[in-house]
Amino acid sequence: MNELLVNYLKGLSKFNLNRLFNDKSSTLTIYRLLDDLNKQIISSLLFSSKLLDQSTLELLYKDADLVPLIELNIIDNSNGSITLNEQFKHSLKQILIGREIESLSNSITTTIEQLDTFATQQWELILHYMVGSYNSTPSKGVLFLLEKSNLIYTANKQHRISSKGFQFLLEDVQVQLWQLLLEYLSLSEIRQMDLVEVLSFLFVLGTLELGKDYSIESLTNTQQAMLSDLRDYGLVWQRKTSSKRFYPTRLATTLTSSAPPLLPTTESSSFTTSSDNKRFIILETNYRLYAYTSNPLQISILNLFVTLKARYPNLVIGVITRDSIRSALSNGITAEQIIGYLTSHAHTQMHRNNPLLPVTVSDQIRLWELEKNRLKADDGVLYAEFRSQPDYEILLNYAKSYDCVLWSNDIKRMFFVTLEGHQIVREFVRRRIPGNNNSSTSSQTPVSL
Amino acid sequence: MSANHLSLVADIKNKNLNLNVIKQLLVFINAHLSNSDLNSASIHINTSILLDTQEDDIGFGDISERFIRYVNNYYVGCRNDVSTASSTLASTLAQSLCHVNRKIVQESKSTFRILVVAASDDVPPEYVSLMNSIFAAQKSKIVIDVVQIYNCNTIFLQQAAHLTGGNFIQATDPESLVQYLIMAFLPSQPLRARLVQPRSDKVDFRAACFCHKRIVDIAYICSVCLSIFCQPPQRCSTCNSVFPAKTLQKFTGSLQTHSHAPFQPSSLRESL
Repeated sequence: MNELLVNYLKGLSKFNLNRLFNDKSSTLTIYRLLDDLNKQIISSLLFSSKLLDQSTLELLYKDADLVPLIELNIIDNSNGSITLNEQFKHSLKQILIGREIESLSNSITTTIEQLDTFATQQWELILHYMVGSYNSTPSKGVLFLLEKSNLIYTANKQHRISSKGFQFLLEDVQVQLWQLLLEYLSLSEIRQMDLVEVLSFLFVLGTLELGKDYSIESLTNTQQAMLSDLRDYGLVWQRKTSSKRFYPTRLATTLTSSAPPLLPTTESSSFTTSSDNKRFIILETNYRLYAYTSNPLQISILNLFVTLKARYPNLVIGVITRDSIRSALSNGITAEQIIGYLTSHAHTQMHRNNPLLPVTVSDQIRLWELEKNRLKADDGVLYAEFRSQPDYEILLNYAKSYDCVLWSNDIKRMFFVTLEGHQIVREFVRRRIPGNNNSSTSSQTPVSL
Repeated sequence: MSANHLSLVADIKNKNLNLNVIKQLLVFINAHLSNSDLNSASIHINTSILLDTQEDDIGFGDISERFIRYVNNYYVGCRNDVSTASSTLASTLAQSLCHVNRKIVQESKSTFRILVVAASDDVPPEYVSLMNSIFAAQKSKIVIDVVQIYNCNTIFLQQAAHLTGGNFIQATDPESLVQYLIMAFLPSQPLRARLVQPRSDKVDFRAACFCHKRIVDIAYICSVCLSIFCQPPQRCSTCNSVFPAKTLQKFTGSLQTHSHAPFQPSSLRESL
């Protein structure tokens, strides 16, 4: 489900991974991240006393790919046979034979609705801030994190959403969360926090139960320090900042689950349980757009590339214009992102159409983007000032045979080759025409299309 | 990745499941549950639903506790009473199918499968109800896997696995049952296509007759409802069709001329 997280884990050192495998909830979470075939290979090795070698493996599992397992340090196949990481094996076995993951504590003193409201508030605050429709600002830590992860950038002392940030808004809540949390992890090293402790705390959060409170006493100092940050993201809730107990919210408990973070929330929320609520846009061939939403966040997102004309209690009407698209493009949002957003949020009524979006509109959006990119830059070398036409022709034909000529002009006796081509052509010049010093001007020239 | 529900169906009697086997079954259920947090499992024993992880909301540890407590109580209970040792496998399977069917309505996205633990011989009187369950499963695309422990004779369940596209495994060494289970039954249906799995190449397709519940090689079939009889009856016991007297006469005639015919009860009994 979560490539982001897997790739991050692959980047960890063997030492850190082993420490993670020491922790049962981390082991289970990592195991669940793997694909089905690899899970099967691991579980078949768990209780088997026989050694498995590469050829037997290929016999048993067609198209087995152990690379992700080796990268995660779960499997070692260095000495001919395939063996499981001892630490990983031990933890997973403990889970399977039913040694419970210790729950920290439990007593129910707060309602789930309360937690949901809190989580939604905190998370929407961040999203609203990104699209620039905010009444209050998130905490400094959050802003720092957003800026660090290039989701927003500062222009004229104001934060603006970046292309990456727009892409971010299109993702599921879970992917958004992990994107931020992974950035948080990479920052934690700078802040001298222990990476493994941070990561395993996040994994533990994923196994906690919603609506129960947990004592902070069993947490390490690093993990206690994390709590205030996690509170800003809406992952945990505390009665007071100095409180000795914390409550994981739904954002936290669904962190490692493959189910979508179900946030049953109010009318104005962007989190939706059913896909129907997510589909609210009707786009017509005359570029008019009707969005059945009253959610300020969705409206702000639309406002990034639509000229909004009218707003009703449950409906927003706007027009896609050249100017509105160009202003989005100049913010770094791409045409594909816009089309992708419109497609994934298209109203069920629109799903009768094939293709889903009116072709005129989607093509026009792409054309407007092309308008912006009339120039394409290629790195290369310009060959010029040939003494004679034959010299020019020999070299040009030679370069053409390697398919590296980007542009040529017979009258001016000039041609432009790619950087890779330059090596070959230069060799040829040295070999063939030793005395001939026709100058090649090294440059980086934009070539008009 | 989609949610997968595993129903474990077992019939315990005469202490056919010892603690060691139960422990290994539990490990297997845990393995299934830890594959994905969307996975769920239910356990059906002797026509009662022991637990369903989705409905009961219980963790790993509770499952084993409940299972072992149930089996213990059962064994203690039947110590005094020998007559309770009748087979309930067919009805347990039917019940688990009902349970699964209810779930299919609730959550259409999940896939479902049933693992039958066969620890005792076939009981021919159960043939009809067992077959009906198999066809019901086939129709709702529920896979029935069968693991046969000890050397018992279970041709009906073999057919169940064959007809529903499940695996049939004979775990010859109950001590390493968990390895059999993990290798053959842990992978989900789409994943099995990518594995090289043990297949039973020979399936015993014999049926039991409706009249005397004997397992037969050759039998008489009602031309209306396809019921199976080891002897030609006057009328079909299932659909009440009356068979023409002429045909019956012809059959009885052939019975007498070929006394060694395989459907004859006496010779049949010997061959079994």
